[in-house]
Amino acid sequence: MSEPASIRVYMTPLVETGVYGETVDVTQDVDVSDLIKSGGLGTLKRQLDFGDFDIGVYVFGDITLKCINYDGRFNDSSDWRSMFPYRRDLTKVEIKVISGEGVVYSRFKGLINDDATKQDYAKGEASIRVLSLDSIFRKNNVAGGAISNGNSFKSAIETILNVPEVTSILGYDVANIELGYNGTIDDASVFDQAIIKGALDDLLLASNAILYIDGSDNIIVTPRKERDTTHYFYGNDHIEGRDNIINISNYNNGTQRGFNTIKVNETVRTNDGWAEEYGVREKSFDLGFITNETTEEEIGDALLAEFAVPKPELEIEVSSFDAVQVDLLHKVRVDFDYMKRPPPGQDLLTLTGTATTGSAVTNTATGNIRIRPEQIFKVVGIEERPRQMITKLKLRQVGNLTSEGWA
Amino acid sequence: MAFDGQMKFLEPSMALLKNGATASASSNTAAAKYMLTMNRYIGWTSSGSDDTTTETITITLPSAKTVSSVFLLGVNFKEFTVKKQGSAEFTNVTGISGDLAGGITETAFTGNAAYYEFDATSVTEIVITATKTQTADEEKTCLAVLPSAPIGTFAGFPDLSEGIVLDRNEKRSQAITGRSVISKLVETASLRLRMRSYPEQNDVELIEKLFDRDIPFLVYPCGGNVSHFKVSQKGWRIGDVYQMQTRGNMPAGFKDNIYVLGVEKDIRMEEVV
Repeated sequence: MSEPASIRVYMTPLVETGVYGETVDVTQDVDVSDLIKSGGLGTLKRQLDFGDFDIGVYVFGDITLKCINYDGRFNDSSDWRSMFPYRRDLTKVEIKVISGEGVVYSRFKGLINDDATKQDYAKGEASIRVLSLDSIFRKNNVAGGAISNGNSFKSAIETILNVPEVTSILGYDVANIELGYNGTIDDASVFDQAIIKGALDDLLLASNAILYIDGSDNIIVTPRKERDTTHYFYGNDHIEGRDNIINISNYNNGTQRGFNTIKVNETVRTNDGWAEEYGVREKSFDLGFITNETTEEEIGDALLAEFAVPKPELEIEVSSFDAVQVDLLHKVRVDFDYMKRPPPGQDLLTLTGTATTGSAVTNTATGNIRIRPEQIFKVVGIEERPRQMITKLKLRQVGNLTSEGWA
Repeated sequence: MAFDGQMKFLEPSMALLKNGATASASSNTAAAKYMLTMNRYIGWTSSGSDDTTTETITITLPSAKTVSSVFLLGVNFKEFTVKKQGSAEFTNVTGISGDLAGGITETAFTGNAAYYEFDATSVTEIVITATKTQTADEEKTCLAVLPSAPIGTFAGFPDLSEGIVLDRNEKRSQAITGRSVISKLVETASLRLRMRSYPEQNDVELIEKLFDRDIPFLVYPCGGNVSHFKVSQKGWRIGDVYQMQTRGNMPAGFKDNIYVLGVEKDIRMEEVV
């Protein structure tokens, strides 16, 4: 009997300043899965926008591990029984999914954050807060004077990312930095000593780009355009028996994220046609590093082109094993027809191509959602529930025009 | 000799469309692929056929498989053959009515489903030829072709007092008028199987084997043996075969905790994708 599918949690602590353990199973990739409480592995979440009614750059999911700590091994290094030889903070944590065929997929990487880690004596439990790898952005500042007036957005992002505090944790390559709009900074003083995360949020928004960490821990900055890989999901008693969708929820026409008026500082840009169609839907941003009105207009135009046209969105729930290779901005095609039942008096479905016009009766169709396989979506959020082995994919139709996003 | 065992369990169909199997037919070939699913509502129907026309269906497995049984479901054939690649016959064939000489050849078939077991053999194609239908000159139909291999057959009679539970999985909402709105969906099957002071070693090991499996299996409640039943009902007919998996835990005990008595087991199975 082959090893059944499972979720495994591994830790690699520091052995000295800036140096992680290298002895597998001793100080590197220590499997602590048997010491994570049932239900103690929360939801793993990554998504491109802050919520249904907003646009943003990236939400990194942090998690809390509830660890069985009867013997104190998850205490910090001051306890002689601790598994952390140097310090518990910044210990690397990796969560892997192992399929029934023994293939291993890495689904989450992060660093322990001692600030939010707590212990409970009665429960014998350590609640360890793990921030995703990008949390390094939240713990460091932009050096004073690193960014200058007249720098392009791209060079500023490169300067912010290419520092040892970041590159010691994440892979950086200038070839992985691509923006939707590359403007010029007018007042760089805004960035002096700013938290890296805040500086990046503003620059990425102005650049109409997003940032994510790929499966090899590399920093990728890219426009919101979909990537080349396509995944296929089927549901509702699929006629070819390919069902792998558990549920579809939160289907909407995207109006809530259709902003036809963008205000950058005091400069307003409007898509008149869509404003007339849906009423004015405005989103405003304060970007202190931009004072040039032309730049403000160009930023507004870039964001308008991205968000003026509402695009349908939905969430699909699938088995985590069917979604292990799905990543942000991958394309998804969904074949989810109305559920067809034979018409009254028939045992079998009427089949197009076989049925005789004039005598055949159309099938009964039930259900309130139909997604055509010709519609192309991109993944804008991934939420994994390891306990149920279910993944929820948040999808948005690709393209910036109503005619785009169809095969 | 006809099948004389009880409930059978088999490997899942080795020719499923979603796993890469393909199908073609001498007419209406576009619909041939619908014979390669577990969907009970759609299959293949010939076009422009009658009793003077021989239709040929070719099922191509995704790769060579060792096959020792085959289901034909939802058929109206009266006269047909089933062979493997190269027009080779299956050998030592047993069908619902008993042993067949010279491979799977029927000349006066009645009923809407067939099940055959034969010597295990490597199969890359299943080729079905059908000439006459049970009602003369009808279009020929076939819902599903499921090549498989038995995992095991119960020798005894476990407790299935709850029966094969069929569920239409309806959506129900009560309106403000007090009346309900019910929308019936796809029918699924499940069962609860209990072994009470059970003495059959073979059956106990079979259930344990199913519990250990990570992949689904076919459940054939009648086992091809309809001589047991006075009245026919859904779930127990020749054509009722379900792709299932075990669900939940499986206690392992003995009657009154006396080890020398029979075993006590309780396991649930339900239909899966």
